[in-house]
Amino acid sequence: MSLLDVLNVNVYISNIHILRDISFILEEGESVAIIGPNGAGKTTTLKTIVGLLPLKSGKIIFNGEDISNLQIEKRVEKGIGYSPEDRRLIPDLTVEENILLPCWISKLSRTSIDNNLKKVYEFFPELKELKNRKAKYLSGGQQKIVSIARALIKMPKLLLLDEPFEGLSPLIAKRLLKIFEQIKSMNISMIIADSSPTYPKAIADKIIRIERGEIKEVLRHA
Amino acid sequence: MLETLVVTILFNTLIYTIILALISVGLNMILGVLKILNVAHGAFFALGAYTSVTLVKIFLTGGLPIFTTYIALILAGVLSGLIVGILIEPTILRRIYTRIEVYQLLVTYSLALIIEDLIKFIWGPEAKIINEPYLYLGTLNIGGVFYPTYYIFLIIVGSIILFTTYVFLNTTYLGKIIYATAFDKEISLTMGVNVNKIYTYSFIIGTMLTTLGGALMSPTLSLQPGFSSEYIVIAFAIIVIGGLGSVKGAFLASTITALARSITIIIFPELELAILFMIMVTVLLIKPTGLFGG
Repeated sequence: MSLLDVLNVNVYISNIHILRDISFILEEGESVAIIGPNGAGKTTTLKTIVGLLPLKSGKIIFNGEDISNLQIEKRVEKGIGYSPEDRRLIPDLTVEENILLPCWISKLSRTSIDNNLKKVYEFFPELKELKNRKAKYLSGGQQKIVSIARALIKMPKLLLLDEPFEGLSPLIAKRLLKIFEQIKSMNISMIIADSSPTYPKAIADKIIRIERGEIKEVLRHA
Repeated sequence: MLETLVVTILFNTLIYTIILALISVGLNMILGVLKILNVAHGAFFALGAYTSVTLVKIFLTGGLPIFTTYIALILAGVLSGLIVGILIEPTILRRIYTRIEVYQLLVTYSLALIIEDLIKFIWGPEAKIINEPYLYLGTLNIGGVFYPTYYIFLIIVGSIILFTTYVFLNTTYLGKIIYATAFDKEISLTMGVNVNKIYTYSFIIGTMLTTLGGALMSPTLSLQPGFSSEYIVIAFAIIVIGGLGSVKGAFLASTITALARSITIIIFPELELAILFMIMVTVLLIKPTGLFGG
């Protein structure tokens, strides 16, 4: 059974037709890269899946359930994690508080939260050292990592990553790729939106090329 | 002489800081989280005061000892804040979050007028006085000046309420979620926060702070319809001085305003309000976002 079915999705922002009849399928444990220039509709696609933007028409089926009209917090509860392009950490909270905030609202047990946090620190050991530092004092790259860790903390079924490699040094970007491999091996599916295929193609099973809100090409990869 | 003057200024500053902080911290919290400038906030202050009139009377006519009226005051503040918060946020305010500011101002201004009329309808237009809790405690000699001991009660209880609010907002999970929602609603949603619930909680807390302020002040006032407008005008100036949406800023600005007012009242009593707006204009010219604003 597929994990996510995006079916003929059309999205408008202020009466402008942004996504035009977008359709794709994501299998469980599969990774997809959505590649396209700025303004192509990559971020809009991710925002629509998580529920930040409403559909004009079409359907989004997640884990067999139609979530097209479901509230965002319910989608998150069902197992969707989202890391935005611009990081958007809460500046006066510490690194650990930023990572754990989604757990404070969830029904996860204390033990699960502790285990997940341990796992996240195994992926990103540098965050453990920075855990008491306020987010506003982090570099852009560090903030990016915290944003990904925050999206991962509840071990979602689907991880939406908007430009995860942006602003990272090649060394850190390559390390992030290895972390994504490990996440994938945990059967967590990923959709990575990026303007360049350089890094995503190393991890993606499928590459979707998007332009002006339309899917131009779907390439099976790896 | 100088000693007496200093004591008077400090004592008045303390009382005024507590009252202004209770009103303006609540107002700024609502503005910071819900992004709504709640013009009805002054009417909530009045509602807290009038509810305390009723509760104190019920306690006294029920034969309860006078000291229990202090519980009645706090209960009146909590209950009126809770009821107003639960009734107004989900039914009225939730429908106007996405509307333009003018629309929001009109709705909350209408709410203020409705509540003021409801107060007249329920409690009548004549002045209401409940001075039993005020008189019961007598007076206290501080540095040669006699002060009603009730003000000490007001300072202690008000400080506890403000300190508890500060601790709640800064150390509890819910407080931090409120802060996160105020800072970035969209990203809070993607973390699974039920923003509607957070808005309701924040509105109840903000409203309760001001209704508690009204209830605590009621034994020192002669309550007449419209009496709260003076306080709300000052509260608006305070949140501008402190920075729109900043709880810390509202508290600091309350202290500055209270000190300036206490000094001015002794030297140039006619300029009591003018000094407040002079501070506001100065802050706006030097730091338009307020002392703790963006």
